[in-house]
Amino acid sequence: MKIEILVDEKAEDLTVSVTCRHLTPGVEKILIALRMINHQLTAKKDNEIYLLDMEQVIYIESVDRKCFICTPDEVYETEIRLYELEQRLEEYGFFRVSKSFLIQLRQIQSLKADINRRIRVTMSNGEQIIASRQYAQELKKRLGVI
Amino acid sequence: MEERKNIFDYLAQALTVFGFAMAVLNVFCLLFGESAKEVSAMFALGRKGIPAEIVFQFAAVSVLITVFRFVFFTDVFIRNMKVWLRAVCMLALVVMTIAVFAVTFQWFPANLWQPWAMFFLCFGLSVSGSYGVMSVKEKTENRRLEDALKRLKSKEERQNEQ
Repeated sequence: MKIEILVDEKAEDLTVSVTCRHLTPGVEKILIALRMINHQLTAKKDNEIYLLDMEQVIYIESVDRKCFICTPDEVYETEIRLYELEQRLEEYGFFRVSKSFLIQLRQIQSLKADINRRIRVTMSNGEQIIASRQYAQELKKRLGVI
Repeated sequence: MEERKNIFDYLAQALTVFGFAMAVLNVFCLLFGESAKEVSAMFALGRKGIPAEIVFQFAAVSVLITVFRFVFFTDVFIRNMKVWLRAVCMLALVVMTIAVFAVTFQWFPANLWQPWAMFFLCFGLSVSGSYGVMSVKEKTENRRLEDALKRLKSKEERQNEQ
């Protein structure tokens, strides 16, 4: 992969162009990483690619090596693994609450402690996600409870 | 991440149960030891103390309770079970274990209803007490979580305004 940087004092906008023969998963990953800088996520639905604003994402669920991005209206699919999304989205307020779920903290509607040291997280769309014991402690730390 | 528990943590749990049981038993021994020494192996020494074999039997019960707790309240053996069902199963097993020990080692006369009634009354009171403490703890924790969430939301609102 060649990386060319052209410094032009007359350029008005920052332009990143990607030249490739085919849209391979590797190229898609580059595009996704670039989109993230713009607070956007690239995801698929019915073989069409969509650009999602991160703010509208409620949670991301991993099922059988695929990740599903849940927004208030639709569910989209992405090829990126949950651990990669976790690393990339941490600074945007996303938080891992179990092996399969990454939630957006600002989309939390309410929290309830379970007897078993888990936390029941109700998201803005009313769905409930269980923060497992391993991650519940981290969530409490993040929220400043402990 | 939550710290992984090792054998010493479980040993500490078993010793806590054992210590608490021994403390309660000693109080009972002082209060009812003399009157119960004829009918109960637990109070065979009257007010003088608990016989050594009973102490070891209680140690065994404490270990078993810790094992039940490990089985029902960690995800090692049982993954998908509701918390209330876990609690019910564990309590049932604890009652059965104590009943078996009581009959086998003649802790109290098994043919009389009064000791059984007292046993279930004491057990019920202990469970109710534990449930009360747990409820208070849960409510306190929920309040702290709610406050933390409010702080997070207001922080975000301030950031959005800027």
